[in-house]
Amino acid sequence: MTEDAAPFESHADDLARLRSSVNDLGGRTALERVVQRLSELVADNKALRKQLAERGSAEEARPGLESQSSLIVNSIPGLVATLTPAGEVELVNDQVLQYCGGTLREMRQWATNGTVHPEDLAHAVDVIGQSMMSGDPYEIIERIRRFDGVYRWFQVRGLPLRGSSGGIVRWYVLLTDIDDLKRAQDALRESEHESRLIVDSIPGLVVALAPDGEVEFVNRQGLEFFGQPLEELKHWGTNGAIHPEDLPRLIEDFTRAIASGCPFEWEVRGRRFDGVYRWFQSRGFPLRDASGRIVRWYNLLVDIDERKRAEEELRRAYDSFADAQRLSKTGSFITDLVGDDHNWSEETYRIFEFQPGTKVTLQRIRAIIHPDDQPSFESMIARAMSGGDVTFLFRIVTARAAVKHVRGIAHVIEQIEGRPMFVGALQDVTESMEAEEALNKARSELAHVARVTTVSALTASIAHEINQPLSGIITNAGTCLRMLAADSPDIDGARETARRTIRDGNRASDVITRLRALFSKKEFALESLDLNDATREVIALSLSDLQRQRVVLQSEFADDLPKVTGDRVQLQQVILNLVRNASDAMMDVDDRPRQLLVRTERENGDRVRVTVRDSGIGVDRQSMDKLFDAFYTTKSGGMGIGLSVSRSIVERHQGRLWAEPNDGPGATFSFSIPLEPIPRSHGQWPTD
Amino acid sequence: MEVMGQQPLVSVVDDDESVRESLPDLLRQCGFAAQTFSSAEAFLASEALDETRCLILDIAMPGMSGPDLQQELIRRRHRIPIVFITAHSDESVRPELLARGAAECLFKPFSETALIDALNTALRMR
Repeated sequence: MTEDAAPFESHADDLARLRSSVNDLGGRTALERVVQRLSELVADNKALRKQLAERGSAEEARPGLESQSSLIVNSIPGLVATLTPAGEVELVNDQVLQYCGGTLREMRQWATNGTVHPEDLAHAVDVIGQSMMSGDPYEIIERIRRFDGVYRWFQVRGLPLRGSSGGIVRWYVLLTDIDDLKRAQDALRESEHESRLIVDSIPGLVVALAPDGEVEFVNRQGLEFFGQPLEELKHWGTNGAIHPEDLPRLIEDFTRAIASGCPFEWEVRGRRFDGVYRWFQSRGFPLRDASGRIVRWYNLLVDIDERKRAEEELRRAYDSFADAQRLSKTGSFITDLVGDDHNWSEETYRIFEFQPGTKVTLQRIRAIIHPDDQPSFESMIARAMSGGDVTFLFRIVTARAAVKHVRGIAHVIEQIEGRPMFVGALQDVTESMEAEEALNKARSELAHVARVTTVSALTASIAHEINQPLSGIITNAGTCLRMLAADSPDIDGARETARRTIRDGNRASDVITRLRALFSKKEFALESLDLNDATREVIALSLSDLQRQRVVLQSEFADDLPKVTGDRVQLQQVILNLVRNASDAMMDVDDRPRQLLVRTERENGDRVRVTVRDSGIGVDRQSMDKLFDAFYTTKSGGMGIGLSVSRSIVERHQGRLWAEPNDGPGATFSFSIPLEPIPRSHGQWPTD
Repeated sequence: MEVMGQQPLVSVVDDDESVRESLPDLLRQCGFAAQTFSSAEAFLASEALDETRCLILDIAMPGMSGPDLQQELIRRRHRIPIVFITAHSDESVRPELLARGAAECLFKPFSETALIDALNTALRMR
């Protein structure tokens, strides 16, 4: 073996170095092939030399060595050149010639003839020059001109070949077309830049994580939101960027996602740069490579804080709405009546005592309507079916036999396929109905008590009323006896006393009759009555009192006063109360006549008004309304019941009672009632 | 009952007509002169004020009441004995009226015996 042959063996080392020092920028595969080929050639060479050795013709081998080199070099599927130790082009393979489209001679002029792109030339020459001196391998990325004039990027690697003495014998230069690669790289960088632009312009936070969960990238919005640099955000598990309450769940879910590779979604609170936590919806999806392995997790976080807070508000509002429904015993419903589809709120189920969530049908409702209310219920349903808004009030008898009054309203919100859709609310008004009944009962009791009390407050004047004639009777009788017992009996005188006695007896009897009528407790007894007559009776009853009080009574009764339907005794009670009050108000009036006016008149066509006007001490406007309060009195010794009871009587007749100060002295009290009270619920007259 | 041969004047002040009608006859039968007034004010304004030997006085009257009249007479230093009569059945008024110097307080209807006894008491009060 000669010195020339031996280097081929040392090629193995070179090849190894070559292989290991090859850049893996995608040229790996091609270069690997080159290296592979070289090792094959070295193996072939070995075999060849063995053959030659066997033939014993070293000399024959030597001249063949040159051509062998070129044979080898030419058979490498890549661009290969060799340089002299001084750096001059010695050989280029066919591929080079094909690529450059020139001759070997032209190739030797590479430094000057534009083979290398002018912009890259200086650097190339410089690097090569340095390597020639240092003997170190070099690598240059430069553009080399193709036969058609187009420059393409190449990676040029120069490797020295040393002789057995250590000196460089030649340089092997491998040129690898990395143009596509470079363009791809540039495109990638471009697109990466573009991606970054896109990613930074997404209205959301983007976080990219490595398959093991480490944060690799956070977009601009994310960095701005968290107010932390990427390095710190890598410690999201511990640095408070995620709300502590949400952290355990997040970690758990993410771990599961990494393990399963499935996209995930959750809601989590992130801490803003100012320390405030905001709700985010986080969507994570994996990015896989060609082989299906997860390369990266992309996590998009969208700020849903406002929505979340609104949701909470809504939930709270709904809860308090539900509470409000429960407290007010109001239930709501949405109903397609024709389709018999009922959507009930919880409270509605509760009112009807149906199991919540069960199907509601019209039949089910019908079944518990109180028998007496069934006709009016059916007519209400019929009205609703034809598309009208309805109000209703009916009784139900629940499963546990409780009777409940249900009042409600249903309103058509829209028509769907000709079927009216109702939204409505109903209320269990049993308590208030019962309370009203009880109240009415109590009122009538009170009215009775008031009558009695008023009368017992009148005890002075009642006793007065009766005792006066009684006293007269006894005195007259005594006088009569004396007159008859005298020496000369005074017959005329006796006759006179007897006459007075009879008259006083009748007077007493009248008083008792009138008072008895006043005392009797009656239920609210409706009858058709003439208020003129009723008022006259009251005046007759009060006449003696009024005269005693030196009250001047004036009455104006309307001629055409229509009859009203009402309770005679109760209304007379009211008139009596007003008359007495008027009289009392003038008790201390001395400087002017004590004028009392009682008037009846028709009002507004279907109402009747009774007015009692006095010239007494009057009432100031502030106290006007207080007058009607129970137990409010301006009279010492008064119980203050009269006006409040009177008002309630008038109001039960669906009328109103009010007071006004006069222009002059005194006040005017009036009440007006409709001719017919309108029937109240259940189509019945108001009862006690 | 008769003083100096002249019938003593008993004035009846009561707003009730039947009292004013019936009492004078009884009083005259008993030997008194009688005058009636329907109000305390009327009495005060009359000449009977000076001549009245005894007053039969209703308690409750519109305007000046019986006790008011009693106060007024005290104020004017007219010492006229008073027999109160009343149709009200409230007995608690009697002690107070007597404490203020009334001769008697009678409740209607009263017997003539009671009335005459009261008058005697009153006249003895000079």
